Amino acid sequence: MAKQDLIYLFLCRADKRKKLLTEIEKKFPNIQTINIHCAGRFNPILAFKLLQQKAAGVILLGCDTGDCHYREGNLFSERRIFLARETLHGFGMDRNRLQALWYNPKQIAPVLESLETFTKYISNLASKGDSI
Amino acid sequence: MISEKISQQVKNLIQQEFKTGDVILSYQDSGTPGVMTPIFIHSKEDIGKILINSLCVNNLAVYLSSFFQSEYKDIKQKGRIIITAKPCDAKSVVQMISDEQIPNEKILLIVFECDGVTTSRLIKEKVNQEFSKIDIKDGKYIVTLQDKQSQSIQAEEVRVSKCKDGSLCDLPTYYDYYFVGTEKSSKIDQHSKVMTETPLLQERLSRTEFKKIVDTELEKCIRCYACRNICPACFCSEKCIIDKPKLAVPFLDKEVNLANNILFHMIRFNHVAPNCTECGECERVCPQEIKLSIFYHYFNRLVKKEFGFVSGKSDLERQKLLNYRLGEELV
Repeated sequence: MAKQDLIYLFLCRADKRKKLLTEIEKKFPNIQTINIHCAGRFNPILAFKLLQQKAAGVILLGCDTGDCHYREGNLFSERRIFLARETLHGFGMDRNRLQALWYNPKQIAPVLESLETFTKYISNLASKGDSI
Repeated sequence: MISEKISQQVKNLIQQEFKTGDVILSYQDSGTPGVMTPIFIHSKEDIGKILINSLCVNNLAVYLSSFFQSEYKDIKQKGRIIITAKPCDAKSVVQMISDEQIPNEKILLIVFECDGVTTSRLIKEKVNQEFSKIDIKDGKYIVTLQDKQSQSIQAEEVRVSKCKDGSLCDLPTYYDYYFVGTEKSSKIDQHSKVMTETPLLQERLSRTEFKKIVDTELEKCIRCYACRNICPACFCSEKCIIDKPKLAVPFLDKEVNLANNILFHMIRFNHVAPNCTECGECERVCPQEIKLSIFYHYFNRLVKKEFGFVSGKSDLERQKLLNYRLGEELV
C-alpha cells in the first residue's frame, strides 16, 4: 500500500550510487527509494497503482544514453515512460507526477537539483489543494 | 453491401486452397435473425456453410493467437489457417504478424471489399421492435417484422460507428487475396473526419471538464473484461496481470468502484496503445455501452504523431516502442 504524500524514487545501479542515496536520506525525508536492476525493468503500471493510491509522485532515475549496463534498458524505458505520462494525461490526471531522470552514477549534484524542483512542484500542488 | 458474388468467390477459392490439416476461420448464419457467427472448419464438407454478407461484424483475428499456443500443437506442426477478413480486420492480422504473435507463413489471409457493416442491435433500434428475418437486396436491408409486414432500411442509416469514417478501409501492405465487387450502395467517404470530433482531441476542454467525461463513462464499467478478451491487440492471455493467480495480493482489487475501474482501463490502454488498429470490437461487445473509442482515437493519434507509426499498415514494421537505435537521443 502506498503512503500518502510520499515520493517514490526507482533507481538503477544502487551499488554505484551509494553517495547519492545518503544525500537523499539526509535532504529529502519524504522520498522513498526503491532499487531495481535496470531502468528498463521498471513497469509503468506500478506508477499507476502508486498514484492511484494517492502517492505524491513517482520518479525513475536511469543511466544516460549509451551508459546502460544492459546496453538498451533505458531506451525501452524512455518510450514506456512517455506513453505512461500520456496515459495519465488522457485520463485527466497530472502527467508531471511521473517523471524520468537520466543521469550517470557519477553525477550527483544535477540529480539532487532536479529532485528539489520536483518536490517543490508537488508541494505547490498540495498547497493549491489539487489532488489526483 | 457485400454482394453474394463475393461470398461465392471466396468459397470457390477456399475449395481450391484447402488441404487436410488446414483450419478455416469464417462466418456462418447462426439461425438467429440478423446474427452471423464465426465458424471453424476442419473438413472439406463443411465449406458450404460459409456465408459472407454485410452482417459480418466480428473481427476473427482474436482467435488466431490461440492456435499457436500449447494446446493446439498439431496445428503448429502441419497445416495453415485460412482466414477471411474485412480490410479493417486484415489490419489486426497484419499487426499481429508484425508483433510476432503469429507466424507469417502459416496464415492465408483472404480479404474482401466491404463498404460498411451493421449489427442486429442497430437494426432493432431502428425498427424499434422484434423481427423474424432480414434479407439483403440492392443496398437495402429488408426486415420482416413479427406481424409479417416488411420494412426496408438504407445501408447508410444503420452503419456501425467505425464504418462512418473511411479511415479504416484502406488495405494493409500484406495480404494473399483481395476480392472486389460490392453491390450498388453509397461508398464510405474516405475524407470525412469523424475522428477529429472526439472530445479528447479538441483540446478545448479543460482538465476538470475532461475528467468529468472520463468519470461518467468509466463509472458505468462493471469490469466483466469482455473488452480485454475480444481484443486482438491484447495478447498476454493467461499471463495478464489482472488475473494473475500466483500473486499473494492481487494487483487489482475485485471490488468494482471508480478508482479500480480507472486503474484497469489505464493498464489496458497503456498496453494496447501502440498496436491498436481501432477495429472497434471492444466498444461493440461492451454490455454497458461505454464509448471506448474516444480513448483509442486519442492514443492512436498520439503514437502516430510521436513515433510516426501507424499500426496495422505493414507486416515488416515493428512497433516503434521496440524499434530504436543505439545512440538515439532520449526525450
